[in-house]
Amino acid sequence: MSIFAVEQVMWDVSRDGRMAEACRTDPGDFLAGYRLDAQEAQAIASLDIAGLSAWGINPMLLMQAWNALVGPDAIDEYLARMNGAGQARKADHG
Amino acid sequence: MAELVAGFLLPHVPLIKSSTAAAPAGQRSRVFAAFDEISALLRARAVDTVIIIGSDHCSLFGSECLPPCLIGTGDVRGPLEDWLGLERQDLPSHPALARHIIDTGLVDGIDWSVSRNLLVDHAIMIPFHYVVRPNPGQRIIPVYLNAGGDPALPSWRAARMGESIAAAVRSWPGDERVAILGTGGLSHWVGMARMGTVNEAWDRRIIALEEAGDLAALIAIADADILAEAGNGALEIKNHICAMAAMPGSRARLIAYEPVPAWISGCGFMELQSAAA
Repeated sequence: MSIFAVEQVMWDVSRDGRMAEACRTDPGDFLAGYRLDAQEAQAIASLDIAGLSAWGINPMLLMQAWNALVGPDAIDEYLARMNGAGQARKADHG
Repeated sequence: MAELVAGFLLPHVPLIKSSTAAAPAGQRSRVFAAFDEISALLRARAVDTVIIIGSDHCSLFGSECLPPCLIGTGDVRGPLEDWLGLERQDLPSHPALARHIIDTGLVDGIDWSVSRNLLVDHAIMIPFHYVVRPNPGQRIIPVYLNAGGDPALPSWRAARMGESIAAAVRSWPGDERVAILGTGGLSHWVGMARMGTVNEAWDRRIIALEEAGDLAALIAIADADILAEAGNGALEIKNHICAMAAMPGSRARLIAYEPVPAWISGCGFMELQSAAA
């Protein structure tokens, strides 16, 4: 229930194409394998880029995960989401 | 005794290779001419070993392990990225000198992490492709300094590492002619809201400091200020600092500078000229 589990998801999907595919296909089932609370899981499943960034996820890692899950051709969408309002809480996230 | 005979600062922007046509033709031409000039100077100086200082981008190292500094001491392959536009290949490496840099560092107080089978990303691959590959017989030693992960390597430590690398080269019993490349930068935001913007004014301030050889001033720039003004990618000037510290008293000669928003980066090419030059 911390940023570290979110980072682990980002890292796993960005490094392993099969994990990225599993996350795309059934994010609920995939994310159930991590120690995430409901808000964290929702932020990842919905790719709330601004919210994940506000939590302090390394932007390079965030973009790697986006590229793995959505594709580098959608970078404009990534930036649009980064510049939009985040859905997740902005409070300190340990 | 081996000798450090050349040093250069240059970008490692992956879009130069993967999205070449995105940049205006004139800028592309000047950037490639700058790469060619560096490659020609490596040839002219009879360089046989090139130490390439780069930084990861959460490609090699992520949440599980973040080495502050790492040297490839065995086999080297690259690139990691399948979108870079380069076939994955073996890169010519120099394990013995790389190991000597490690051993020297342990005496100097530098605890290098080691990779004996290193798959490099564009940070090493772009400089290799454009300035080393054209010169048959040149081998590389890949070095990664952590500029992209938290906590980033302090700049003063990057300078100490450069000094240790230089000491290792001087004490190596072979007759290698070594070059050091400080790669990355200048201003760029990676995965951040301002990705695609270039802070040319900041870049030119850094270039001026490098031309003046003002290593102390470069080291003194706070990471928070770099991040705010020039983006997380600009923290890669730590690699420049490392290279400059390996050639004490050196001043940079500007080869070319191009602000290229299409490649999301300010691209600076400099030659480090020793104090005796």
